[in-house]
Amino acid sequence: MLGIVSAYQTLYLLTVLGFAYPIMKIIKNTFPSTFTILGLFSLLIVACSGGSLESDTDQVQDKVLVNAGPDKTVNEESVITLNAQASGQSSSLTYRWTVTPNLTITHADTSNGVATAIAPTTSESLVYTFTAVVIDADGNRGTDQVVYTVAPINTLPIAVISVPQFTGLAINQFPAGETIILDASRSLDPDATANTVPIAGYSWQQIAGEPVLSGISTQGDNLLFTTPILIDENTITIALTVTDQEGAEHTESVDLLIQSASQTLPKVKAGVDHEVFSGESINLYGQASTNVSSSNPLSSLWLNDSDTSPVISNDTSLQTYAIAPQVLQEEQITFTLQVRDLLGNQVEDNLTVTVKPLPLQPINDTGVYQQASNTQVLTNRSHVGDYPGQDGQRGQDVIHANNMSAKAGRGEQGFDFTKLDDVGDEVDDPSQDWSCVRDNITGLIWEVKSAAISANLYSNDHTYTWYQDANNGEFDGDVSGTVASCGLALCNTTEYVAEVNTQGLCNFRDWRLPTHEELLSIVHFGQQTAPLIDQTYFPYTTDMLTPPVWYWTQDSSADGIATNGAHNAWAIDFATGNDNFLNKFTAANIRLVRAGR
Amino acid sequence: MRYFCILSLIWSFAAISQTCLSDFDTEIHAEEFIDNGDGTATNAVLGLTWMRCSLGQTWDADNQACVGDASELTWQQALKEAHGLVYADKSGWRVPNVKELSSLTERHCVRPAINEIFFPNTPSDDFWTSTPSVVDPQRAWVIAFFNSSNSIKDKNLFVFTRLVRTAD
Repeated sequence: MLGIVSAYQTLYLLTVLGFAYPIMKIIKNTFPSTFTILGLFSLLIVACSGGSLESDTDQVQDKVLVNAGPDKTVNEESVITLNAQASGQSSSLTYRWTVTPNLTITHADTSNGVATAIAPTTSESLVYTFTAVVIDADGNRGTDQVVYTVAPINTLPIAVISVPQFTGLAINQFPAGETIILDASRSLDPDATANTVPIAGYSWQQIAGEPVLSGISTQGDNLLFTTPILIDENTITIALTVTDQEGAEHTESVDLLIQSASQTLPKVKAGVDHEVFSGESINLYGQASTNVSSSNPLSSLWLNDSDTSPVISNDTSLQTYAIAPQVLQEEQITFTLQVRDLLGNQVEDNLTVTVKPLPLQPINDTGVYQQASNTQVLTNRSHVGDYPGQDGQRGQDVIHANNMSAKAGRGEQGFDFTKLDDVGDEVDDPSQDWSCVRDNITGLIWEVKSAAISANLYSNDHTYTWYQDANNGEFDGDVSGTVASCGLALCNTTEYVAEVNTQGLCNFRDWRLPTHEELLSIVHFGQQTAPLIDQTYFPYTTDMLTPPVWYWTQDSSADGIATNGAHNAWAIDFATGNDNFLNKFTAANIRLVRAGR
Repeated sequence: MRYFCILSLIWSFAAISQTCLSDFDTEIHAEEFIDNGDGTATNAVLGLTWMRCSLGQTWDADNQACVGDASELTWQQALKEAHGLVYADKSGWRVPNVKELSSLTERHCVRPAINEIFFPNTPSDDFWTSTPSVVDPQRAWVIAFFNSSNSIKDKNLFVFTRLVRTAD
């Protein structure tokens, strides 16, 4: 387009002609430069608003002729080279380029009309209107426009299928009946624009082999399906087509070699390596399966490599246990689980169990030899391997149940007690009376309660309020014992301790209230009914008493303390094993203790 | 004077976090366990080594703190998590039984009822023991570390866990 136009008139014309390219030359006489700027400013406003502008009445003359060059179509991301030619009455011309919509123009030398711009990245056609304005030394101006259309150029996306590696098989080889996931998320589009997902669509298709995609979602960035179970080895071919944001597609395919039913091996897991002490239960919780139903049933066999010959409860049972053998030093035993299918395919897996000699146990076990699942408590010594390391598989109780415990005395489960007579001597004859019990694990010596005979100091139905003038959480408790019932003048704990020491029970005079930890040590959590204690050694603990049967400890409770000290002390209910803090004014039972390690 | 202010500030925070009986000397706490320097602490009297953090938390040796959120697990999840676990280069970790976990409580303090020097950032809430109730098949014993009390809770509840191993 060619034109020599002044600002005002151009605008006027553009308005009048509805932005058609002017074919008329309008020349304006000398124009003060300040007015030129004002005029340009107005041009911008009007160009934007599309409104009209009053033309002045200056005479129109040809002074500067501009040719911006021919309209063109260029590719995205290419260089646009602008070259405006101008001629005028003055030799000194200044060139300026503008563009709508905005684009960066590089125009180093304004004494000529050569400038460049970079066509932007685009996925659709864009139109840019460049305007060349040329001004001569006298302020005369000419202008012309050129239109560049930027066309998108699309590079094809690339479909990428990632195939998982099945352990033990070749690349792209899978067993029959195996659920596998093909992953397309590494597909890409080399000319993807920022802020958009490169791949607009995924489409999976099977192009050869036994149909496997029926009822399968095939539009996602991965494909989850199950390989066919066939008599013969077979190949299935899966194709992936990806579509980019500009609508271009690319397809990739992969051949998967599927084993025959009879080649497909069963799967086996022997379980987790773990560590136990001699006499505890080793968890042999095997898992085995086959994808091929005709290969069932599976048979299994547990083997081990130890010369200590650990006893495996049932070596042909997939899930069983072994008794950790007696060892003098740490030993590692490898257990191997062999699984064989009906067709004779055999696989194996193993676990390593570290067995250590049991160190000296200074703390009593709970008495729980029973094992439990979420819904059952099994009393028949069943091993519940899916709940590993529970109480019934660890510690003195299971060691006793496995006939591997060494006790100084006797007692239920892991408990190890010895009876003492009224002068503190060991009682071996079961028919003989006893007054105290020594716990051979903790070293504590315990008072034994007697039947409910009110004249008897040790009667099990005597109760006491909690009273201690030291170590009491700054609250002594109740000295009066009025709510309690006993044979003493004052039925409080301190009075009882004093009286038992005066009597010298079992020849000891250092009896005291047990701590919570000490009293808990003789609770038998494996008992399903009251009392929760070994009754052979501790008779009359809850006999004829109404639950809860609280026994005092010497420990004050820090919960709910008031400014005037701890009003509660801890007690344990031997009917349930539950503990709680009781108001020190409560009447509760008492069992004294002495010594310990 | 400034140091005093900072000290009293620290002290008052400690007082807010844990309440102890007024005649209880918390200084004995510093001697109660052996710091193994690897995120575990040993009670030499009872022969038990404890993780200083609850499962899910991470031991931060620089700050002597447990960071992150403690995991809340069902009873079975807690047992399985412990089975075969190697921590501080040691195996043999297990969920403690009811007597062992009860021994870890500090019965003279509440919220939390534990030695905070060795077991910082302990949630004041129930922790699993490995001991099932033999009376109620749905429940297992827990110890509440807000006040040391024991109780039985449904095995499907999500409860905190701290692991122990027999010191050897």
